[in-house]
Amino acid sequence: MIFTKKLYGPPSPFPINPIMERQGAAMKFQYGNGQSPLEGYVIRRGIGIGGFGEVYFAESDSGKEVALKRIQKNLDVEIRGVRHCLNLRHPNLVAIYDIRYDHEQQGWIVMEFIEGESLRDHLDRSTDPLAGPIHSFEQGKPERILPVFAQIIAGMTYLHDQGIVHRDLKPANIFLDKGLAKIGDYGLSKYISTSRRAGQTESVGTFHYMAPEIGKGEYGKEIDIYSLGIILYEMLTGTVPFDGQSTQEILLKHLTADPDLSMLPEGLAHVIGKSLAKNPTNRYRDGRELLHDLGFELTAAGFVSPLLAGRPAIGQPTPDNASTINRERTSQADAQQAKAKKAIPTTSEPLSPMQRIQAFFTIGIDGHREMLQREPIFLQVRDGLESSKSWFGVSSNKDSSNSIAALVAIAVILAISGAAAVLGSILGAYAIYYSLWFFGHITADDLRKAPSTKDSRTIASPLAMQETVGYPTATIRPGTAGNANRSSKPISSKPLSNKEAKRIWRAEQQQTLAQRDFWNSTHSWMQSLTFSGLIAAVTSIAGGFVAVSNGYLTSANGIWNSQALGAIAWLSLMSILCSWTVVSFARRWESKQEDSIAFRFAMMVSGLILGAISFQLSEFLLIPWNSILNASSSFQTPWLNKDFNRSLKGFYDADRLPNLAGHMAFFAGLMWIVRWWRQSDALRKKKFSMWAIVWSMLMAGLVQAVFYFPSPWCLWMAGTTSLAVQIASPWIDPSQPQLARKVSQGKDAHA
Amino acid sequence: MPKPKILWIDGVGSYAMCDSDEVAIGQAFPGNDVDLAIRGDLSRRACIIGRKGEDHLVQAYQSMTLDGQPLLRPAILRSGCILKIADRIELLYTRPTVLSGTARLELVSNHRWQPVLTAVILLGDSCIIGPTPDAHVVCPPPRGIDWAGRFVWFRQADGWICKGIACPGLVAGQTPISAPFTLETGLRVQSDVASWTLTEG
Repeated sequence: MIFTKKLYGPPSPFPINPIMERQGAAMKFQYGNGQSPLEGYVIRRGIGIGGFGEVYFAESDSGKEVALKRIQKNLDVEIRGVRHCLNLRHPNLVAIYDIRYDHEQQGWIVMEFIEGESLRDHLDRSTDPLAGPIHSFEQGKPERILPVFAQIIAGMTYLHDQGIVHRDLKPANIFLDKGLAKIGDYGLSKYISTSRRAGQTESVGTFHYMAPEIGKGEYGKEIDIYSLGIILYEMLTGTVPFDGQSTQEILLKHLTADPDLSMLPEGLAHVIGKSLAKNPTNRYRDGRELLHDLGFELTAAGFVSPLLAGRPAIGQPTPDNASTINRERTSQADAQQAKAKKAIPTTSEPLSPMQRIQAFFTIGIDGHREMLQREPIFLQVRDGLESSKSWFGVSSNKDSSNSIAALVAIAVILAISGAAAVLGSILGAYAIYYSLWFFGHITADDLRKAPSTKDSRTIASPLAMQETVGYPTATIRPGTAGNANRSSKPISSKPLSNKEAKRIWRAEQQQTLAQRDFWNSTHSWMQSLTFSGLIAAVTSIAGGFVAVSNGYLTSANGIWNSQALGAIAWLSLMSILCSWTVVSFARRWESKQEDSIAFRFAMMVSGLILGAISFQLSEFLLIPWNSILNASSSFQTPWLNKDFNRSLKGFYDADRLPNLAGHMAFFAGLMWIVRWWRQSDALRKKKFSMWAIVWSMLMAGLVQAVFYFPSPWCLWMAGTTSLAVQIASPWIDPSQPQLARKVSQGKDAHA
Repeated sequence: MPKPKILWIDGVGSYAMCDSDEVAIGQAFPGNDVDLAIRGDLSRRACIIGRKGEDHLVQAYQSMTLDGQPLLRPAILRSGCILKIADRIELLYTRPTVLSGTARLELVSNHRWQPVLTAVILLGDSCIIGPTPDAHVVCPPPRGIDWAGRFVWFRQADGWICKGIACPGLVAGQTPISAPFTLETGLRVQSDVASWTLTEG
């Protein structure tokens, strides 16, 4: 499209606007009034000239007024992009009617003619007393700006919903047509999926509106959110937040500087600050979220409308009035809830015993969660768990499914050790204690803070809007509204740390991995299985021979008898199965956020199955565990009696050999204690880590210290599995994008 | 009475250039041969705007207001006044400069002229096309070019001539010309700062 400029190229004195960068009449158009280069249309006048070609106002033979865009550069690419957008329909998008070719096979795009001006032109003449539908913030009319801006968001959101990232949102690409705001030039953007971020080699957009991550070749929909933040800032203040004497200076400010939001009211400052966060993940996730914070929402048809309770009257209602009004507007079910809210005494009034009891059952899970944040025993336990979580590497993901998985895992472990009853007693006692503590500590203020779903939303919006449009209001109560809470959160606009950058890179790669089709992922899976199986087999056979050669089977009937070979076969098969298990889970999880508890639980369950297979296999192959046992050594638990790990009741037979339960316990422990999926993760730090092998063997030793299993067989199997999965698993080098960035920065420096 | 000519300026807009003594405004529909047609709910001939010396007079044929006051008899239009036809259609009348009797008429309500026009120019004895707000047709300078010139049209007995002030590179059709030159319909005039075509309405 329009992207005739490289991001880091020398600045041009004439910014190129693809659709209507008119700003004067010095353009020399090829066609003039009355000419008809495209059959069926008569040109009336030129509208503008962009980087790709000329735009004309024309009339069809039947009198339809249209804009004709003559594509002169990159015809195939541009036409392909426009074709994708040919049937998009939204009132806040400039409609594309058709693609036609003239007798010279020159491509023309037939599209909606916008009679009005571009937002760029409008902003440039914002001091004009005849200014149209919007006014600058200094003129005290943000409530006239926001409805226009909301339309722009609606158009952008529609594009995002269709899988299109505009990538070049700027005032020159937004048109005001009798109160309607329309986004243009979207069809000429490179058509990319909102989730396909990488792979672009050319930087796009206009520097003042360009998100910092574009320099890294990232083109998610967050770049449009960023551009909108800049546009809103400019609409309100008349200037862009990041300006400079040179392109490099502007880009540097995008990357490092914080926008000056001091002249904006808190609500709008929050919205813009969040939109302009340097880190894309800290921005609004989508247009709907942005709209909501501005007091608007999208209807089911995609039109923008003020939130039911979101638009304050010009008469400046107080927050309380607004809340009351909005409560009245809510549905009957909500009204009932609102009534309950009104019944809450003021902070100074003590709660009656009955109100305390009612509160226990009405504040909901979120309310209890809030209360638990003050309960001392809970805090002590939580702190203890936090510290132990870091030891286990548990993710901070609070997803309920993870919690359930963790609870099940704990329950299984406790059931094995027979401690479930003890835990139940503790929990029961705590529940009674908490109830008593709750009745003694609940206050009216807690009831106000207690988040309740629908009511909090209807109350939240007007408060947010009051704040947004700068009306003098009382302090927004913390916890009353999601919006108010959000506004109090600091917005990170610092440059990305290495850790943060790695986290983002990882998330993006996971997204890319998740988008592979069935055949691609199956191919990767099968490849990993094949290679890991081969490597595990070869390594374990070699290891088996080493073990035999070192006399671990010397008490058996000869070194190379069938039982020795059977033991080697057992080692090989179990190594293969362990490798396949690890690889299968790793391929399954490589596009997911790590959840250590759930993953460990799944691995542990698979370990139980592996243990059962191991037992059956050793029975089938007649492995001489008795001989091996006598010949091999084991780690001892020094704080227990010497044979503790061989005498656990139920896990070993009369000869103190591991029975079915022993096998299952060992393999479950081994699968649980090592985060195997990390060794097979495509996004692991290193392709191959010797430390991972050593660690796996150490952990196997630790497990067999509890549930005895003949070593070094168990250690060798763990090491073999680690080796096989690392070599056989795909790997994406995390240094590659960093390298690319360095090259890019080097080029910039030269430019 | 001939219909107003249309001035199509590349990159700027389209303007009805009314050089007759009076113009009739009415509804746009097939067969209505009114001078200035508006796509809206108004009469076939809603009003007439006539020239009287340096001023313009409006005479209503249907209910309308001038700056909020019912228009019961012909009234002189003042720069910045709002004409409202049928309670919905709003027209802004301006005189960008006191040095010329030419006025500008724009639709400010959500309506459109037929054909599509940026504004109507009620020509007096001269008309300015330039980058400054005092021009009747505001033609912004190209980005990066500091154009302080202007085109000035002057009425003459047999038509209009155009004088150019700092308007380099003038070409009429394919022929280089120099100002002043006679304005002709259907002739494309180009320069380094503006290009236009004047057509019959």
